[in-house]
Amino acid sequence: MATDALVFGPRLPPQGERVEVEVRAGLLTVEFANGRREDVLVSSLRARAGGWRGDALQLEWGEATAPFVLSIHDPIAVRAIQAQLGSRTPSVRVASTGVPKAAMIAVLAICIVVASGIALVVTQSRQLVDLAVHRIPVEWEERLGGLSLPSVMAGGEALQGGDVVLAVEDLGGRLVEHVESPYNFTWHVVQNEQVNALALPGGHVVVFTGLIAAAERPEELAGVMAHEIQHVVQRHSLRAMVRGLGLRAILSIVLSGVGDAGSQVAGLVEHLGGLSFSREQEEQADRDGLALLQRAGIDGAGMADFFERLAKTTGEPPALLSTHPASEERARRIRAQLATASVAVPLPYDWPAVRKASSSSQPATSGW
Amino acid sequence: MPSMHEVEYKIFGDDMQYVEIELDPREAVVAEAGGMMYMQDGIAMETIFGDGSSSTGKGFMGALMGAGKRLLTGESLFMTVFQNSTQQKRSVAFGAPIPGKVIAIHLAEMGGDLIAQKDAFLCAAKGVAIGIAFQRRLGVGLFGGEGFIMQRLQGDGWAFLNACGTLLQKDLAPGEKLYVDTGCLVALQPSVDYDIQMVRGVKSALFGGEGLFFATLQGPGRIWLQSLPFSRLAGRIYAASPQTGGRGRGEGSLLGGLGGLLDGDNG
Repeated sequence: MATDALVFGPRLPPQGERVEVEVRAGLLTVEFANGRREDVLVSSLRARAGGWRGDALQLEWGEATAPFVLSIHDPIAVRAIQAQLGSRTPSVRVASTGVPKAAMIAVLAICIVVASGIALVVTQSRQLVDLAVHRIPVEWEERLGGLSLPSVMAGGEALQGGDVVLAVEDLGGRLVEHVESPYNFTWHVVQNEQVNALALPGGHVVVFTGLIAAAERPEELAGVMAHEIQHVVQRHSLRAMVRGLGLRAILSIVLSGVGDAGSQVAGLVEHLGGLSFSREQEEQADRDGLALLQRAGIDGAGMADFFERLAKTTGEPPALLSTHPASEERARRIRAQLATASVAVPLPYDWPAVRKASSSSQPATSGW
Repeated sequence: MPSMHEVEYKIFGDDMQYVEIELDPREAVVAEAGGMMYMQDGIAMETIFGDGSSSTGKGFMGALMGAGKRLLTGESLFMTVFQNSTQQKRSVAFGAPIPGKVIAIHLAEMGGDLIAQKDAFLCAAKGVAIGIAFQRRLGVGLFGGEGFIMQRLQGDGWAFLNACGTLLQKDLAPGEKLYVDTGCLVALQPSVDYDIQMVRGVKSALFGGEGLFFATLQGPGRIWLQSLPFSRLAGRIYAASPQTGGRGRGEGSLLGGLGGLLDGDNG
């Protein structure tokens, strides 16, 4: 394979002459533009790396004081000739293509910054939030949820097994059976006095024991869980994230999760837990959650009862209400939807026992 | 190469030059948008995306890539093609935006490939590919004065570059070395070894005013140097301008700042 090169040397123009070169059978053949050919023994060549960025192969022959120098720049030709010259050549670092990796990464980074800048502006509009959310794959959501789960679970000791966990898992299973979604729901019970439950993107639902203890009937817990499931299915946290943090945040969390999860990511993930859903999303979760309860044959009155009772609680408002603002209107809406309720079958749990287990499950190590 | 336009040219002026290019019928020249000084009747001006060379003519995506690269070098996305649409010879002229020399380089003589500092390009015969090339040597990229991005001119036609101040064209023999201030390099043949070396001796780095690094150029190949990097000139002008509290130091006025009140050119 002949290749273009520049040759310098005695009786040649000072700026070099363009020639064609070929290496074959231990011989380097240089063909000049005027048709003149010159053969050089490969064994007499002195090779070195050179050129303006050090990736050219320069072959030298003749007298040391006035040598001929052949400069080959095409990376493919450099590699081919290096292979033919064998171990005699220096290590010319040849780039695979025109653009080096560092530059590619820089360009990519610029693109991401620009794109996220556009995304930030764009996400002000709801339709575009929908569009953006729609494009985020479920795996990313699972990754986000998985990354933020530890910070949520840090709120207390996770319960493993036992009546409480079994009841929550069974209840969750009953509800999810009537939901069409790509998510694998997982249920976590965390020992914490707060009356609260959380839904993380990707299907992690965390229920605090305080919530179970506060529920007078299993249907009340079912109401809250149905509500949380709707948050997951309708990707509410993702929407809130896109709206609040921009697509950039999601990108950085998902991408950096691959390599070094730095403190920056940890900060963002904590932010995830602190995101609040919009009033509209809460209403939607109530409405669709109630419909889910009815499909599952669970009495929806529990949901309304629970929210009503929490709203009436005096003293410090329960944590659940700070993120799920209860109002007369909200309860009224739930009751109105309940008017069309279908037949409900009572849930088969020994609820007083579950409640007792939840409220008394203080860490055993706290007393002697 | 049939796609290369063989233009004829003439450079006018001493230290603030312009180049007049004579175009045969159908011949064309490409220039950075905004570089034109004058043109004769019958020359069609067309703004194009990319550089108009056939090497980037791989459809719209090719043009887009070329334009994207140009965006990286900080140049305008568009170039202007000046084509002679008459049956007679017609001329168009381009003025150098900086005081100095216009360098005319016939790319075919240089082996078809030239690396230039990224804002050196003035104009070229249509068919010359004006791309960018990335410096691979970290030191050169960081301290070389030009950054990682250089301009690459490929083709067989005439290309015109700007040099600020006085121009030096020098041929380096194989192995011949030249140490150059990083800002003074205008262009070089790709066969020239280009590296960065730190100035020895802290004293000269701190008080010498030459910066901590200089470029090492090693032959074989031709290099083009400018005596006055534009940034150096700009620095002096900035330091001397009244808005920055500069004084006409260079004029040696004993009145200093007060002199500015009297010399009348503060308008």
